[in-house]
Amino acid sequence: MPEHVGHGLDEDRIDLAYRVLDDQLVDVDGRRCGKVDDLELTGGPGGPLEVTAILVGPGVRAARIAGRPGRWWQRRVGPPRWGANARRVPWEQVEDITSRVALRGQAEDLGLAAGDLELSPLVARIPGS
Amino acid sequence: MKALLQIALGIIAAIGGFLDIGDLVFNIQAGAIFGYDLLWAVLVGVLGIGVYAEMSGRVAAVTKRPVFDVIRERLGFTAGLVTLVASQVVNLLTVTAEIGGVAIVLQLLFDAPFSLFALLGALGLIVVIWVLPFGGIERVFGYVGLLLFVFVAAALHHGPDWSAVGGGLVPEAKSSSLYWYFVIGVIAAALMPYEVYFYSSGAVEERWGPKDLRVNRLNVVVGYGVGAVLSMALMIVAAQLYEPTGVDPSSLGTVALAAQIPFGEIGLLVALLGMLAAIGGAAIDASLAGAYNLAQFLGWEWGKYRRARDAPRFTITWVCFLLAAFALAMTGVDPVDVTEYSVVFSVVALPLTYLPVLLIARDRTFMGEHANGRIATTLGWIYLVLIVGLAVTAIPLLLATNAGGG
Repeated sequence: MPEHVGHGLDEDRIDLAYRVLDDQLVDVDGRRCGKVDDLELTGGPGGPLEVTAILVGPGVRAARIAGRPGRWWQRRVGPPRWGANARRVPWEQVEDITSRVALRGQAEDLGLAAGDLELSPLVARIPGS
Repeated sequence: MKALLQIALGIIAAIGGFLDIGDLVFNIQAGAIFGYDLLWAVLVGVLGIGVYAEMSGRVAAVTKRPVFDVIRERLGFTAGLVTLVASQVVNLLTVTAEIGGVAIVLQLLFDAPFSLFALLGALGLIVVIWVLPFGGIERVFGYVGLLLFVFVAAALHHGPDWSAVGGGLVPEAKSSSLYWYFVIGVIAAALMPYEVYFYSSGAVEERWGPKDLRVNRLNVVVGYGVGAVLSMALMIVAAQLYEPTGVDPSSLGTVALAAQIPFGEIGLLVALLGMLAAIGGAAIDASLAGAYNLAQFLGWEWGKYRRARDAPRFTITWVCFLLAAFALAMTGVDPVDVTEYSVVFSVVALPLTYLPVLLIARDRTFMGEHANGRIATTLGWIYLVLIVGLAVTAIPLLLATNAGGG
């Protein structure tokens, strides 16, 4: 499987927009737990920029919709509130980047897949679930 | 030997799973109005769905990415969101049409009101998806769907006018807008987008890898090839039975009648059971497609291979699709009308669905040695241009022809 071919990802160079942004996040158990909705870059103009975190959640996504629908959606979701409608996953948590972004920790501990965790007990009440 | 059997079973399921209410409605009507003239449109549509199903299955096998994963990744969030909204509207209309179709077929089999059968149909399908594993769903509906071959038998029984069949396979331009409405309808009915969402997600459900690429190709060639034969048989039967008498087959009853005329009660029963499986199977495929799309766009856990409690948002989404479709079907809309609208509107969602699939299938960064060859890429671009053309003309034609009503 061509996991590491071409210019998207070599040893010392990652094309962030091409290989990381909008990709699937999976936790250490292989559970899908959100998308790379945005990236946090640290640094300033003229200096080096460093990726410091992956940003996930509706509060982060809303900022990416342009124009009037975007403003409407942003009013509904509100500004990003960390730990509530937005989550910050430190870049050190990234284990590997293939066709998905694999994380070192569990979704629960990273605050990801909260919706699935919340609804799971409800669905678990139905026989055969 | 077991592996061979598995492949054979998968292909049989693909054959039976090709047709849905859109194919039944558009092909029969096209045959009744235009005789053999639109057979070429079936070929154009089936080749197109074949090209893109093969590509999306190959992408899923190699990169483990189903279509909506690829859409968000290649189009970005905003354009991806537009595609999501368009495709979900079409998926919901499709499920509504199929639920309505299930209820109508049940009404033709048993005597009870439409609303009761729509409810039983929706609840029955929820139970089936809940209880059966992914492969089981595909097979049960695929096998019973093979009963639709009764229409091939009917077409042969009446002796098709083979020279007219040959003539119909050659594309022809006419100046009637009704003609072009049916050209688009027949092509679009074959190209319904839920099929690639479902097919590519199914490849991930069944844990395909690069070694399954042969199965992918066989599935597509045999499954859609035979699907084309079934679609053409419907059109030919309508050309034989309905075109000379000027019958307008605007109901599913007239579709089934095409098997009853040559083969009597048995023919009718076989046709109705085949239609029930084909339409019910499509309702399942399209409602699961709706859940796959949403989950893949937002990164939720998904898949029938997960326990329901481990993919709760995915599970709730497909249940909601079937319930919402039931509610829509109960508003009294004619399922055949909903079918026509869903098929024609689906053309608008297609370009944004297929572009990212084509971009990633030809990208060696992701696909390595399994990237598109020259033929797949050329056909992919040709169909993309064609689909954009269809998308631009579909809605004006829908309005101009009063949805094929003349």
